[in-house]
Amino acid sequence: MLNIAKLLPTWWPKWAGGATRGARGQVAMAAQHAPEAAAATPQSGEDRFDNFMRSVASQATRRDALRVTANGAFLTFMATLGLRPAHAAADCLCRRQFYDPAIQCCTPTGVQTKSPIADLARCPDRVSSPSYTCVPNGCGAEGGASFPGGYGAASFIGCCSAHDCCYGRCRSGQSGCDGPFGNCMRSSCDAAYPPDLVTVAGITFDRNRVNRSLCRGQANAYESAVANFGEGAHTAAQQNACECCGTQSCPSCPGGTCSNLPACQDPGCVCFQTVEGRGFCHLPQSCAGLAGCTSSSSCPSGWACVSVTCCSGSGAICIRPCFTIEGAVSQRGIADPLDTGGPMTAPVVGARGQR
Amino acid sequence: MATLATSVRVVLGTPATQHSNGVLTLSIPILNAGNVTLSTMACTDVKLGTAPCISPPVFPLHLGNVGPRNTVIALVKFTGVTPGARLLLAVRGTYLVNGVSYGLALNRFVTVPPVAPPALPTLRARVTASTGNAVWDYTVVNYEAASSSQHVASFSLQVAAPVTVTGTPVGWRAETDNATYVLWVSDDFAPPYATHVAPGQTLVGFQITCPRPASEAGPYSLGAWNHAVDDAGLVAAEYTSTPRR
Repeated sequence: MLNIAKLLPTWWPKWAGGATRGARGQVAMAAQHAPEAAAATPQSGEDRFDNFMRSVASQATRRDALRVTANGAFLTFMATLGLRPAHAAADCLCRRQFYDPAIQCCTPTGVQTKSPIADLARCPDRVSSPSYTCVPNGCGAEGGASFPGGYGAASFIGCCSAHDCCYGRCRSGQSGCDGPFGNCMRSSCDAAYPPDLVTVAGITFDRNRVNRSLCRGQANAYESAVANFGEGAHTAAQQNACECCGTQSCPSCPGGTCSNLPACQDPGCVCFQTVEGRGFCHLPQSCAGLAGCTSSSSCPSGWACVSVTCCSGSGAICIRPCFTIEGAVSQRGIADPLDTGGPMTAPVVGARGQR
Repeated sequence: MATLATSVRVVLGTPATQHSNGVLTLSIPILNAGNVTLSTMACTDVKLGTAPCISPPVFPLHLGNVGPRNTVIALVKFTGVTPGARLLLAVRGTYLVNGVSYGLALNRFVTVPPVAPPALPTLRARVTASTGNAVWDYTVVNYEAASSSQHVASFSLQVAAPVTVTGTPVGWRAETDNATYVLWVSDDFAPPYATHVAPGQTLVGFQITCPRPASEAGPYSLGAWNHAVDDAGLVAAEYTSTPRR
């Protein structure tokens, strides 16, 4: 069994543990109908976790968030080494990282979780989530105040529900929701308390003026509270209502003939297509001694089985990845004992080819 | 046909905090991170260390239905907290899934922020309630400064039970649908608005009854009339005790 702890880089934050440490007390959850009170103890690195939780998981469980944190960093680390986990559903490439477009997105800032969105700013091409449905629950607390759902006969419930679902409409702007919310409530006030003119001692009064104004005053206060304090609610709604990206194509190693194998993003590495049809970044090596294969699963861990190489007449052979972590040491820039000067699996390109 | 398993997960988010006038206000986000709607979610108790909770004055506090990936906010206020203190926030509650009631227990630490001025101007007025024998009596207190022009002119109460208005102060009138709201408002519609509750004054006589004797938290608002400009003024919005649904 893979010992993750041994593979963790030195920068791995202590608070994250080896993805095995218990979840922290910053957020708690109740799961599977079994209320669970998480232990809450002071921890170092809390703010970092908390900031992450504010964005990811005020949308997910603490445990999920920790898992995302651990897995994301680990996969990034592994991908940097040119390895992909066995459970990866696809071998799409995004800036040197493998990712699964079913659950992840390739963005200008790298691989992001598709849903829920951890950071809206990192998902400029977000789209509506098909799995999100707004469930309005009327009027509620905002800005430190708990407003009733109306003023007398003027009900604000419909306005609050529309506002909830406006926040939950992907890519909606907060002000674009708050303004109509206020207008909606004020319209309810005007409809419930229309002018009611009476004349007293020759002077005409609107008996509903005070009530209508007080109602509109409450609407204004509610709108102001939402406008000033609703940013968090809007962000949380957007993180859940959107997915980080729509359907993405799968940028991968296309493979090619020996003379035009495309380069990977890592210097010196070239793209091969495995016998399974996946892309595979390979560090050219000597053809001598490479084992034949019928599938990548029959190759050493992290290696792949390819049939089109520059090793003449070899058929399908196992080739190594860009970098290996045997002994936890990258081969980048290290003399390769397998490079004997004979035929190579691929033309040596890039910086690696300058050696 | 395959059936998706029901997943129930509730997450306690980072509360937004305000610390003003000796009161720490927590806006506590509660997220439904599962895939099924949590019906009639309610907080039955909220504790922050040993700090006294001043709002809501009574539990439960109903939060409504929470759809998958939707969030509700529980607003709770405490006194007697020291800036910088780390206190354990413990939220207890209930919700229904497919008609079956489940308990909720969520914890997290909260660091008390420094004292800061209120972010928004708020009417300095409140409602106090006394209950007994299925009767709810309310008193409106205007504790604006004596020089203030903010006079309380309306008391809007949200209820979720069948109610009857059995008390209205002289010079005020009540509007109600006997089920979801009660509005008491001053009957004055022209200056000098003698029945408004002036700064420093208290007005009693607001009363409702309900066949059910138990209580829950319900939101109310107090609206002020600004006598200086003869127009609507500031608003206070809080929880008080109301008949239980």
